[in-house]
Parts: sequence; C-alpha cells; structure tokens
Amino acid sequence: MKSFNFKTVFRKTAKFLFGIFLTNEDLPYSATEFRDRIAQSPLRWLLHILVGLFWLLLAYIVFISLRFITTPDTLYNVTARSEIIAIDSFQNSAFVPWQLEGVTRYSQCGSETSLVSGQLQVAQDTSVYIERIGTDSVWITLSSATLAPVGFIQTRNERIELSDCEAFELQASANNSYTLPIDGVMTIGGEVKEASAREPILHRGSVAISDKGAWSGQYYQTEPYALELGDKFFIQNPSIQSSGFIYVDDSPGMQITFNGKGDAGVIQRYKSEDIILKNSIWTKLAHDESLLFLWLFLVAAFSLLKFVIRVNIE
Amino acid sequence: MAPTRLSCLTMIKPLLAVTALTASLGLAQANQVSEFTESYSETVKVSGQFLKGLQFTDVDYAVAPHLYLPSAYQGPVCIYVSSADGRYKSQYQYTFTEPTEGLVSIEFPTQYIDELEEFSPGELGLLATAQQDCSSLNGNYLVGSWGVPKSMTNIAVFLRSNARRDVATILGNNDSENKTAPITVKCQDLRSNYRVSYDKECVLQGVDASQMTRVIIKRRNLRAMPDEVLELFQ
Repeated sequence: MKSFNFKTVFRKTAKFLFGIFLTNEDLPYSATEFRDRIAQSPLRWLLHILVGLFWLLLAYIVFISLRFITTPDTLYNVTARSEIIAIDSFQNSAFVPWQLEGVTRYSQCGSETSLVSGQLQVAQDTSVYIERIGTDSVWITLSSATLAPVGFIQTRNERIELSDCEAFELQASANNSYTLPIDGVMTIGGEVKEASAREPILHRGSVAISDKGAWSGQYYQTEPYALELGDKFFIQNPSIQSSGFIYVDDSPGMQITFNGKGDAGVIQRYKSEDIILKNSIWTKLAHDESLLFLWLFLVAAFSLLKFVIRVNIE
Repeated sequence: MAPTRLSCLTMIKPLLAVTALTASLGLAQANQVSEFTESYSETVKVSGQFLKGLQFTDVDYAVAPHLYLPSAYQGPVCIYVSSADGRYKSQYQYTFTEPTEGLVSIEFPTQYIDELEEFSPGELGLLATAQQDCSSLNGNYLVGSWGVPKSMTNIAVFLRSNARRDVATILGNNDSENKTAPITVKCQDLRSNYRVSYDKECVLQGVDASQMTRVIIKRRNLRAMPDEVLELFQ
C-alpha cells in the first residue's frame, strides 16, 4: 500500500518535473506520455538524476539571486570638493583623535582665543563641523547635543577640558597642509539659506555605488553619479560608520573622500525634491558577472538536457 | 426598540445640524481673516527674521493652526507660516472680535493643503504674535500648533541662526517662588532636511505654557551676540 502510494507520488512529480522540457518543442506527446517514454528509455536513471540536478540548480540560483537582490549592503564611495562637512558619531562609536599644532582655540565659541597644541579627543554625542570657504582658514566647530563638554585636548603636560561649544582655526597653505581622518556619519555640502550672502557649499563630487556579487562575494562598481554645485549628500540609515579623510592645502575648499554602507544615498538640493541613489535590480544583475554566468549555464543545461531526452526517447 | 431609537435620532439630527450651523456661522462672523498672502515654491522676499516658529511638538499633525491664549484676548493676531525648506510661506492677520481664551483653532485659507499635508510638524514653522499692527515688531508671541496638541508641555522654537551656539532659556511667572531652575536647552541643527528658512530647533520640555513669560536665547559666534528675547503673551 505504502510503496504504491510512493510510486504514484513519484510518477506525478516526475510528470511535473519533466513537463518543463516539453515546452517550445514540437514533440507530439502529452506530459503523461512524455514521462512514460522517459521511464522506458535505456538511460532512464541517468535522465532522472540529471533532471533532478537541473531543478536543484534552478532552486539554488533563484535563492542566491533573491538574497542578492534583497541585501542592503550597498557601499558608497564618495569623493568631493566641498566647503563643509558635518560629522556625527555612529551609534556612539569614538571619533578619531586629531593632532593639532599651533591652532587658535575659540573657547566656548566666544571671542576668547588661545593657541593650543596637542591631541584633540572628541566626546561622543558631539557634532563636528569642518568648514573652509575659499582659501580662508579651516574652521573646526565642535558642538555637543546637550550642554555636556565636547571632549578634551591632551597636551604634553596637561589635559584641557573643553566646554559644550568649541571652535578651532587652522591656517592651511601649500606647505602647511592637513590630512584629517574622519570616522562617523557624514553629511557633505551645506545649504543655500535665506538671509545670508555666503554659506559654505559643495563644489563638485561623485558617488560610486557598489554592491557585493552574489557568487563571488566581491564588490563590483557601477557608473559614478556626479554631485553638482550646492548639492548636499548623506547616506540614509547607515549600517556601519563611514570612514575617510579630508585633505586641505592651498586650493579652495577641502578635498574629501569617504566610504560607507547604508540603505540609500540621498542628494538634497535647494527647494527641490530629494534624489535617492541606489542600485536597482537590473543594475545589480547586469553588473554581477558571476550571477549572469550562472543563469546562462542554467539555460545551456536546459537545452542540453532537452536534447539528451529527445535522443533517448525517439 | 430599534425603530424608536432610530426615529428619535432622525428627529434630533436636523436639530443638531441647525445648532452646529448657527454656532459655526456665529464663529465665522465673529473672527475674521485679513490680508492673507501665501506663496509656494516661488522666490520669496528675504525676511532676515530670526524666529520662525514657536509651537507645541506633541501633536497629531493636521494643517489646522491652533493658538494658545493663556488669558482672554480680543484683537488682531499676526500669523507667519514658513516651511524649513523655504518652499512655502504665508502671512496673515486674524482678528478675535470677542475676548477669547485657551486653545483655539483659527482659520487658514490656504490653497496648498495637499502640499502642506506632506510636511511633518517640525518642517512647518508657525509663528503668531498678538499685536495691533502686523507691520510693527512689538508683538507678544503666542504658542501655536498644527492640530490639537496632545500635551502642552513640550515646545519647539525654530530659528534661522548663523551663530555657532544658541542656548534657549524659558522664564515663567513662578520661577522665583518654586525655586526651580529655569529650563535651559541647547538649540540643535535640524538635520536631514535641506534648510532654507530655518535651520535650528530648541526643544523645551516640561514647560507650563500658562506660566511662560519670556524665552531668552543666548548666542555666540566667535564673539558674544546680543541676546534674543521673546516676550510671550500673558
């Protein structure tokens, strides 16, 4: 009784699984007849195994394609010439310490100045703004979310506690340039605001979007998207902190480069709707050679199997 | 049982409708809107205004401005509405022809209702002053809200500020008696939006709206800037 049941199930499944090889063919068989002919052919065991493997391959490719399409692990590589960048800490991770030499400190963002040298350690929950309009001085402004201190400066012989708002002025020139490493959540570019004649803005830049190949596990890159004058860019819902650095010399503004992962890149413009940058299913599929190769292989295997079956049953 | 209830309702219905109609008509006649101007996504006159909103934050957002009058007021109020992204602006005068007190809904004859519904309350600044002449600058500020506030203890102040540091302090009538420290907060940059009209918000929590007298904003930008003092309507 049991074996009989098993046999019917097997025969029905076989009919369904073989049925796909009847498509686009001028074979004068019904699906039942087709299955029965295969079941009586000399190479029936080989055919059953090959068709089983074919279906497993199809299931595997569909599975990794789906996983690939739904992964949010998109990498954004940003390079830009901008006059402003704002950095916040990512999920309270630490900021990179900066070594400052002979910079002017404006204590409490007020008028009281002093020259300081030492290592600046920024506290979590602080927003860091780095600004440079034209070839002016570079301004680093630290502002805490509450009235808590923004961090401290460790000099050779003392630790200077900072207030809730601090500004530092750095003189940059051709032979006094800076490379400042940055970790956190970045926003590059500023806004053109009303009641103001000059706001720091982004000059130009590009965003390259990369996704991980489904099979290879390596990043591939699509065409970079250009950032235009005055654009503001940030990564929406970052999954890790962004990292990069800022280079300042005698050329206007600051050269900024960083990369980060997240859901989407967002470009904002003056009185305009936001532009969302992300890879679509088609750009993802088109740029992942290994996945494309797998699908091609599947088609080839399908045709070959069809041919083998046909030769065997006629 | 059911039919009698139904007939009861049908009898009452017109009565209710008439009452509601007379009430709304009475209101409409009592208070009026004047000099309404608005613009959406057009070049607007640069105002240079510092304060762009004073409103309760705990609301179910609706494009229906409400004002809180801690004591009875009769006369005109000046309303300024601006979106953070600078795309929407409007201003008008609304006149209370009878002494009015408490939380009141006011008319807002906008034709951009669909566009405004897309905003969140933090993206649309509402500013109201009680004063006779809207062209002068001597009015006392009223706290407003978009929709009916669920609680009146959290207030946001929206600023268009060039300062590096803005700190807001709220002063009330009974601060000295209660010996409670006045509420002081640091104003934060409004991130995630493209900010044109205003760019900072100061969120004051645990406020007694009926006792507020003034908000002082201390400002610094590599030099001390004069304090901004907002006198509230009492």
